[in-house]
Amino acid sequence: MGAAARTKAVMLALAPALAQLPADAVTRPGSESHGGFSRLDQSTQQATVESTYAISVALGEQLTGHLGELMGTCATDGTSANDAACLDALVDRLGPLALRHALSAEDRAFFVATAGATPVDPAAVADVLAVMTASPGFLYQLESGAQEVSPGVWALDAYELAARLAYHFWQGPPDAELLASAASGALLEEEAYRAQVQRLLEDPRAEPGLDEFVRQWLRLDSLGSLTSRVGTPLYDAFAGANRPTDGLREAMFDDVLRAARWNLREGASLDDFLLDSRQFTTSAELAAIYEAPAWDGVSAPQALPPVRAGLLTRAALLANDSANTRPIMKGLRIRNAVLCDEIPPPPPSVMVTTPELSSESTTRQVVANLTEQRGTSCAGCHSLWLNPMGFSSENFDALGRARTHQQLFDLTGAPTVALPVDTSAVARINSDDDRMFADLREVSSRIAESRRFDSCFARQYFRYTFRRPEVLTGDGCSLRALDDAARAGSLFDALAAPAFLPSFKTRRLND
Amino acid sequence: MRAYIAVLALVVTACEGRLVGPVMQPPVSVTPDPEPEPVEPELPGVTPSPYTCAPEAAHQELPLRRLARTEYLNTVGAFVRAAVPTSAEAVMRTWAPRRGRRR
Repeated sequence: MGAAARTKAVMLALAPALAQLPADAVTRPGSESHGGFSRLDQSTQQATVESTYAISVALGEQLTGHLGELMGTCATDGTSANDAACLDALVDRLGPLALRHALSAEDRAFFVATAGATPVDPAAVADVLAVMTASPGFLYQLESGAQEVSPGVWALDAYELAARLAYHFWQGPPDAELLASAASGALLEEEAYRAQVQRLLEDPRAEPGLDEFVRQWLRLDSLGSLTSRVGTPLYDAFAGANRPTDGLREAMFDDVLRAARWNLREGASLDDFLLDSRQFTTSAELAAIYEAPAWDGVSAPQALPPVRAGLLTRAALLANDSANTRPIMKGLRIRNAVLCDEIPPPPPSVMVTTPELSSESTTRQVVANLTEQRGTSCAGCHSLWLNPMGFSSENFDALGRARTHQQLFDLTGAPTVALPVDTSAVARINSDDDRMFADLREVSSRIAESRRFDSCFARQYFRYTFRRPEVLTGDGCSLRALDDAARAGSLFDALAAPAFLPSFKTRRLND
Repeated sequence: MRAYIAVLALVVTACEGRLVGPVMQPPVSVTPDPEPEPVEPELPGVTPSPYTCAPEAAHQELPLRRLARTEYLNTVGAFVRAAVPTSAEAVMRTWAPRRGRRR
């Protein structure tokens, strides 16, 4: 079995542990009312303590079930004379992996003492392994720094830097090569460091982290189940031949994630990713919605029909779980996640209602009537910011299918009338821009020209990298550097950029 | 010993180590603004709050980073594979951690 298959098997076998560990909640940064990243969840619950404890105990027991492989022949040779040396060797081998650092004499003595007096039995070894994997150095990224570079600010040592890199790009501990670079000190040299950053980001192990970032940045999981209304007359009439299956939702996500990975690998820019209208779905079901052949996942992806205008017209960013489009939520996603606009929540006195499908008016007409009445507290945000951006994609229905007319139905699913859709909108990408755009294609182009997609990416990626909201003064230089990288370079460069920030390589220590 | 491990696990979750307090941004290669100015266009009401590049400004930093769930599980997996390379799969397959605590 190869390494990839072995990893997959391990992850599958981890299912029982996954079920016991609390999930990290997608946590909104600062005052944001939507979005966020699970990395920002730094809370520790009682269930976290109990689960990690149980895992450590079980880990010790399971590993000592393979004592010969774990410790060598010294553990099974029937003599206790070499027990101490045998235990020392185990601690020296696994201790640095557990702590992601060279063992200090104190660390070493602590782990050895855990086993108690010789002879060392398997239960004692299990205790040592449990303590190792329940230690702060295992559960947290402990950083003590190596050298004070300015008052109170310490440069990370090579092992700490290796851990930051590995957890940022791979969501896991450093591999042997990275540890070797740390051990030799090479990682602290600019050229070797740059080479390691490039290696980590090029490695397939970087893909899950990229997927997590893109998925949470673009709020793909806000798309509910696409099958919840299947079987109801109205929805079935709406869906027609494209009645969704359980796999369609993930296929929509996969389409976006594959687009990101492909653009990363081919050295494309962020704006290329934004405007990329090629076919990345391997799902026949989603391909039918796109009215294009499914991609084989290997050959050069082909262009989607011209109505598609890049990322914002991929089904995952258009669809919802009903027969009705949701222009307000589409507009909010673009404003808040793609442009980083700060949209205030509705006034507390307002009862938020989801516009229902009408049998005689388009969704645009219904939403405008509901939210753009002059003199209401809704009209300001909705008429200026939210609705126009959402209306610009009304030439796609709630499954992401292109349309020129909106077919309306009564509650029994009987068609009533097909009305032409209106996608014209003053999208206001910038404050001084009150031009009318014909549709989301034009809006997307204008977003790319404005560079606001790049700047927003930089801000969102900062949050993901440092696991906290930005501080507008203290983090300003970091944000600017990420912004510059996002605007000037490739998606690869933009993703690598945090690793070169001084704030990535240093720590403030209160000593 | 089990009780000791439990205590250690509880202590770990409460431990903040030495890493506390606001962090001063070290000198950076980015050219600072001559004076703090918005670097993004202002659109009252909705545009992103503007940031300023002031190298001397301090920012808050997480005092301690907890491994995310995925990171923790990947770390456990890597530890097992390093501990018993050829038996790792068997260990991971049979391993079903218990919620209950043994004493």
